[in-house]
Amino acid sequence: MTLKINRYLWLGAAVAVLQSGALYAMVAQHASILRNGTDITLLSEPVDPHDLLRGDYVTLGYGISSLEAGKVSGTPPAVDGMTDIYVTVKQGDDGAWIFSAASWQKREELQAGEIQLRGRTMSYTNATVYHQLRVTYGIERYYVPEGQGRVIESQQRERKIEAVIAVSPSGDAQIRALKDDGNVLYEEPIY
Amino acid sequence: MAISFGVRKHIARWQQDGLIDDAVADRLRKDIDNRGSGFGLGGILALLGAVLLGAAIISLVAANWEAMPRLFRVGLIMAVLFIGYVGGAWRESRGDKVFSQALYLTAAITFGAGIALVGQMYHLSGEASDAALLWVAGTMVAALFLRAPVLVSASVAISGFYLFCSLEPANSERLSYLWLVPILAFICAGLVWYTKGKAARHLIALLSITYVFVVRFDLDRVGILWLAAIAGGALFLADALRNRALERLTGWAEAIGAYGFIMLLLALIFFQFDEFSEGVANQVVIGFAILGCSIAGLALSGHRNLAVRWSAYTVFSLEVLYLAFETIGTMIGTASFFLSAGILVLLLAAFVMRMERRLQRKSPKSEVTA
Repeated sequence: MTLKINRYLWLGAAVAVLQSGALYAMVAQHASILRNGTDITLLSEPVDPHDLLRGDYVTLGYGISSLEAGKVSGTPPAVDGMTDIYVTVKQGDDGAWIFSAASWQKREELQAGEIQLRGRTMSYTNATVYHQLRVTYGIERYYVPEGQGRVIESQQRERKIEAVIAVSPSGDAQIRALKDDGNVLYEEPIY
Repeated sequence: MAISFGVRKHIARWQQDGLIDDAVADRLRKDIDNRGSGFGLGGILALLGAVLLGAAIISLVAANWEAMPRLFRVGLIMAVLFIGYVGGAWRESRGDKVFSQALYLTAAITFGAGIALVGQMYHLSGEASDAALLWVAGTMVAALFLRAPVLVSASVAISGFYLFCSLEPANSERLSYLWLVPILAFICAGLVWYTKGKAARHLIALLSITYVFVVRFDLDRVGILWLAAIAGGALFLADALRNRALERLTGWAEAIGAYGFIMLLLALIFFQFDEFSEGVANQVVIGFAILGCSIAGLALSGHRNLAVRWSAYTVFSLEVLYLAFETIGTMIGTASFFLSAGILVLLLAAFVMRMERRLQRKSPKSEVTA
């Protein structure tokens, strides 16, 4: 009888550990990017206003969120579908980081001062060189306390908000802070 | 459960009227008790309580957004997961079939809420459908480990939620639901077999029917309807002609036949609506096909399959009315409209009553209907 009870409890605990582990993995991945990542500053750009504020998060668009297909080097994927894309940025004169190059494959040798981001995009084999690729990096969404989204929304339309992005060596990105003209609006603790 | 309440009332009346003596009444009541799953009103209330508890936990954590540090909130969710799964396992080991399931369900809902809250707290951009997939996977593993029927039902429901989420974003990656939903349904069917969960079977049938219509509207192709009509017809025929074999294979032959039959009729009805703009002639042809299928349903398995019987009556009646007003309804005025409607409905009533009498006679006494 005790053996039976133990088996049940162990199974219950195993499920709880597995599901807690899945939740913790989400937290840990975010934390490790913030802890070990290199910081870059990207200027946010206004996105489709209908899509800007949904619930209580702000949607952030960047200069590198939209790329011309002709500017992407490397071998494009053979089939249509979601695929990784590697976008390199470098620091501009005003301190903000801007587009430098893009490739379908990960570039191994980067020049000094270049940072490579891994994004996801939809690729079409029959796309023209002028086709605008929409690229997402996992930094398009920032949840704000209830009611504060509208403020950022209007600020973002008037002038650009600076987003400090932490980039891991593998190119994964997370938002570290949002700034407005150097003033910190939000800053992320690691955990 | 509602059926057993009704029968109890009848037994009490028969006993009072002296139709049956007390010993028989007691034996009948005992029989009802033994046949029930032991999961009556109390069980339903326990599950309802579990759902409410899950909702309370979610809103508590979400509402005290600023007050708690983030890691503390994550820890709180994990604590609820442990209480739910370990506590449920403890109740199960004590032979408690009601509160074990309720605790499991609370934990499963909490896991989904946890995914949403962690995503929100840590600003993880991503599609809701991906989060739903993680939730389904976690719940399926829990159902497998704990052999809990309620978690299978939850898995099917979350698969439905995933299907719903897949319709939202406007990229074509979302179309992976086309093959993922059938796979999820198949895994759930396996879990039903493993856990002996009975309620989840109905949910799987509903999920499959919903899937067919979502695909029909989403892709705007009729191929899926043909497929569904053929599959539904095959399942119906399997129950109608090879009832014993299907029953031995699945233990659920009547319901499978009925769901197949409903799928077939729904597909035909959709064909009819597709022809709506094409004029009356095509609609009438499909209309006769629908009437023919209804009659076939009554003739082949109506005498023992109650669900088939009543869906056949319903569809047959609605279709007759629809065809009548589609073809002649436009030519006659309001008064004659009500007159012809009245006559038609009376004729249908006579048809149903005659049919009922025939089918009751045909119904073999040794077999239990429904």
